[in-house]
Amino acid sequence: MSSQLIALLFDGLIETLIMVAVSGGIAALLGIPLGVILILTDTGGILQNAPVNRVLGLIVNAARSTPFIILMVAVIPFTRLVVGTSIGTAAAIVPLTIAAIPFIARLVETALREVPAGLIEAAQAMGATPYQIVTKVLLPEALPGIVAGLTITLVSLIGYSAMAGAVGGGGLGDIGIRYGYQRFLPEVMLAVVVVLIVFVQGVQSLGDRLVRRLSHR
Amino acid sequence: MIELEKLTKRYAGPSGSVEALRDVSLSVAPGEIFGVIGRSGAGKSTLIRCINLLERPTAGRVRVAGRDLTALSAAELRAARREIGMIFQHFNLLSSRDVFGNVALPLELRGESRAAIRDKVMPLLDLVGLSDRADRYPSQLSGGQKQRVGIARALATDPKVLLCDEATSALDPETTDQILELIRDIRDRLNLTVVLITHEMAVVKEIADRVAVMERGSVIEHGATYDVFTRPQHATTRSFVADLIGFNLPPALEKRLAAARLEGNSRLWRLLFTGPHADDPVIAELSRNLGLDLAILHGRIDEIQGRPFGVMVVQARGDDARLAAAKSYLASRKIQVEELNDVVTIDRAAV
Repeated sequence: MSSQLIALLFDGLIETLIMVAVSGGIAALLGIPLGVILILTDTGGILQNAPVNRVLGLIVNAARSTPFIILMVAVIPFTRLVVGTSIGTAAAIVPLTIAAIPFIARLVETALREVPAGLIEAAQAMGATPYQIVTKVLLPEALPGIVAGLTITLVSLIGYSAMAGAVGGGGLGDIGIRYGYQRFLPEVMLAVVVVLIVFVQGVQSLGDRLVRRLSHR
Repeated sequence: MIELEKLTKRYAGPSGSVEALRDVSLSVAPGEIFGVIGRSGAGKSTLIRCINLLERPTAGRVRVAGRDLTALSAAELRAARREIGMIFQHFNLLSSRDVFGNVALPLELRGESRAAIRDKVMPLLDLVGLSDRADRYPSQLSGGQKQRVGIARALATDPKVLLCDEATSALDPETTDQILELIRDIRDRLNLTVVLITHEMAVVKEIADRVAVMERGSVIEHGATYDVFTRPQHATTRSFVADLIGFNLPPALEKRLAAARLEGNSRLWRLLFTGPHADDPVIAELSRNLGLDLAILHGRIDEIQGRPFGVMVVQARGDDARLAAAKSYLASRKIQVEELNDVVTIDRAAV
């Protein structure tokens, strides 16, 4: 492998890392509260509110059913508004984040649903406020599930980020398409795939290890 | 300490509204252990959840320590709930916290400092016998230990009332006895008022000072445990009590009696030994002084709330005068006599 190729792959890896980490981080910050709101406002939830639940659910479903490549193009005006340009790594982060928020919200919702209703009841019997129930009971109890959900999200984001090349976002996927496919350099394609496999493996096993450590069930 | 006034709870069910509670009024005195027994679906679970308003009654009032909980604002209710501890059938401990953390939770919710929490939690773990398990997680504990954690947690905020929602139903008999022992011990030490619901009559018999029997959302009978056990008024109560205190004849004996024809001068009696003369040598006196032949067919002697209680089924042989004399002697000893000849025939007819 030439040193040129190594440098190329290294740059691609860094770009992918930045895209995945930043979009994953922001999406977690917004997606986790969204998942909490979905659970709280659901039928039988402690802040049951059918209209809010239905509207949020609809938005989440709509965002999740839009293919990423279309979403990326569709949000270009918004991307331009936020980062000032529609091309480059920073520009790719915006659609990635938008795609990941509802994804995380649903995974968090599922993880929170696993918390036994008896625990919420016990907390209510102790005089806990809804905020305390969320911070002291729901989130800590669902933490292993949430971490597992975030791991899945990161892996999906690595896959999505390969499409970011379409808006000049760079990253490993972009290298694979441009050098491997369009310039017909199969060794570059192979190298990209290998790096991606190792990367995904790393993220997944790190996530699994964290879940095991957090879980006391 | 607890007064429930005309509580009614209706749910919207799939086929119209369901009444889980119908006009239930009860009052529980300070320091009392009050049992509520009923089959599943009788409404006992709804009843205990109404005491701390986990369920809000459709109508009626709930007073705890003189305060009408149904009239409180959300914040006032949360404060009031800290005066009411609760333990559950499935313990409801947080799996993400160790034993210490679980007991500390209600104190954290109240905004106590770390030091204050430590000072409070350690003695509580001592009280329930788990001080050496403070850093274990619930998944590492046995059922009995989990319920001990539940009890320590419920006591953390120094409540006046402890609600036990089927607290021993998931435990084996031996552990059940230990937990009941602990609850009684705590009641004695802290002068706690305890309400416990259960479907096990043995639990009521073991620990409750008074008991209410529920069926289809209503309280059908209530009173001192000894009285309800020894003089059950209602058919449901009777069936609850029957097996536990040997009220029913064993099926094999019943069959034998039904088959055998009793001679004219022979009677089948069920004797209920209650009250002050339960310990007297009644059977001996009957045969010695009145010359009656007595065959003991079935019996159980037990203790309810520390008072002796016995049921005995005897076949008495003797002439009419002796049988009559025996009956009046038994009456003078405050021992209830029930003629079973009829019962056996009726039972056979029913089969």
